[in-house]
Amino acid sequence: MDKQDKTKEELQKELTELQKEYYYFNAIKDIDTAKRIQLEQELAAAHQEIAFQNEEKGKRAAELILANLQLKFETEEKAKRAAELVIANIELVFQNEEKEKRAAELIIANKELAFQNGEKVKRAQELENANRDLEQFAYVASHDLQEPLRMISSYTQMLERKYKDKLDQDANDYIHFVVDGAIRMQKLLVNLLDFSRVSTHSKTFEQVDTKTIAGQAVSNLQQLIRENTALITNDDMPVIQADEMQIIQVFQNLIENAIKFKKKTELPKIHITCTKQHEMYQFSVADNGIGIEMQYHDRVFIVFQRLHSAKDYPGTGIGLSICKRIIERHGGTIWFESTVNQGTTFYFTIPV
Amino acid sequence: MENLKLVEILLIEDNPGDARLTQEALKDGKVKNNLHIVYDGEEATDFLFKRNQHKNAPRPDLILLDLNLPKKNGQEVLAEIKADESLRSIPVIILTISKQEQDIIRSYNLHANCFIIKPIDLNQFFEVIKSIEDFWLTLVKLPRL
Repeated sequence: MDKQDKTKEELQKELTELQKEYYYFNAIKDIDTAKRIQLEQELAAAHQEIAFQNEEKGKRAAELILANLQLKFETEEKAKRAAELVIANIELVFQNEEKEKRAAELIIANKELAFQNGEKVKRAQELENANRDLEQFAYVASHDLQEPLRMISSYTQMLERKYKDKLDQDANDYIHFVVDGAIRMQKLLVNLLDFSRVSTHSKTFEQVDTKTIAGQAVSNLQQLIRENTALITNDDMPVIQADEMQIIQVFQNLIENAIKFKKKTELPKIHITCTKQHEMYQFSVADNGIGIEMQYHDRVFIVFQRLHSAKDYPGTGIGLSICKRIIERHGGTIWFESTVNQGTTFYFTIPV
Repeated sequence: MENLKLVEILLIEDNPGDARLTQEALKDGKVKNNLHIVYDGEEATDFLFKRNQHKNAPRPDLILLDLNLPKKNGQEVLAEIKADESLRSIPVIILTISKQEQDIIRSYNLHANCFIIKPIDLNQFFEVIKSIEDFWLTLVKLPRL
C-alpha cells in the first residue's frame, strides 16, 4: 500500500510538475510566440533593411561602375595628357633648341650687321675721301690747270703784241687758233668746276619763293633777253625748300637755252608754270624754239654732250647736266618733251 | 722832286710766267716804278720785315699778292701785313686766278684792299694792271711814310 500510495502521491506530484511544466510550457509558448512575432518583425525589418541595403549596394555598384568608368576615362585622359605632355616636352626641347639656334643665328646676324655697319662706315669714309678728292680735283681744275693755260694764251698773245709787224698772216692765224683753243679750254675747265661744285659747294635747303627766283634768273639774263626781244611769262609759283642759288641756276640755264635755240623766224616766247602733282611740284619751262629730236633724249643731260656745232650755237654743253645734278640733289627729276620746229618744254620736279 | 722817287711795288707771285707778264704790263705803264718780285710767302715776309737776304729791302708802296703760294700762302702773308702797325697802311691787292667765294670773303676779312681775278686774255690782263696803276698809284692819296 504504501507503495501504491506513494506512487499516487508521486503521480500527483508528477502531475503537478507536469501541469507546472505545461503552464510553463504554455507561458513559454506565449513568450515564444511574442518573441517569434517580434523576431519575425525584426526579421522582416532585417529583410527590409537587407533589401534596402541590397538596393543601396546595387546603386553603389552602379555608381561604382560609373565611377570606375569615369576613373578609367580619367586614367585614359591622364595617359593621353601624359602623352601630350611628353610631346609638349619634346616640342619644348625642340623649341629651346630652335631658340638656341636662333640665338646663335642672331649672334651671327648681329656680327654680320656690325660688319656691314663697319663696311658702311668704311664706305661712307671712302665716299667722303672721294668727295674730298673731287674737291681737290675742282681746285686743280680751277687753278693748277688754268695757270699753264694762261701761260699758253698770254705768251702767244705777247708774241702777237710784240712781233705782229714781223710776222706774216699765217703766223697771225696760228696765234689766233692757239689763243682761241686756250680760251675755249678754260671755259670747259670753269664749267667743269661749276658742275662739280653742285655737290661740293652746296648750301642747306631753305624756304624760297620760286616766283622771286625765276625773276632773279630773268634779271641775270636781262641783256640776252633784250638782245633777242624774248617774252617771258609765268603763272603762279609756289614756295619750296631748296638751295636758292642752285634753283636760280636751273631757271637761268633753261631760259638761256630757250633763247639760244630760238627759231630764226620767230621771237622767242617762254612760259614758266608750276602744278602740284601728288607730293611734287612740277615746274615747266616751255619755249617756241627749234625743238630737240627725241632720239637725242638721253644725250642732252650728259656733260659736254652737244647736239649742235659750236659755230652755230656756242656753248660747252654743260648747262643741262648741271640742271640735272641740281634737280637730283633736290630729290626731283628733269626731262623734256619736244616737237622739232615747234618748241620744247622742260619739266622738273621738286618735293613739296 | 717827289716825282723822281720811284714807286716801289712788291709782287708776290710763285709763277715766273705770271710775274714776267705783270712786269711787262708795268713796264708799259706811265708810272715809273721799281718792281720787286718774290716767289713764295716766306720770302715775302722776309722782304717786308727786312730779314735775311732782304735786309736792305725798301718799304713797298703797293703790294700785289697771289693767294696760292709755296711755304706760306697768300692769306697768311696778308694777315701778317695787316697785323703789323708799320705795314698795314700799304695797299694790298690780291691778284689771283681763284674765283672761290670763300677766298674772296676771307681776303676781305683779312683787310685786303681789293680782290682782282686775273683775266685769261692778255689784253684784259694789261688793262687790269693799267687800272691798278691808275687807281692805286695815281688817283688815291696814300699816307707818306
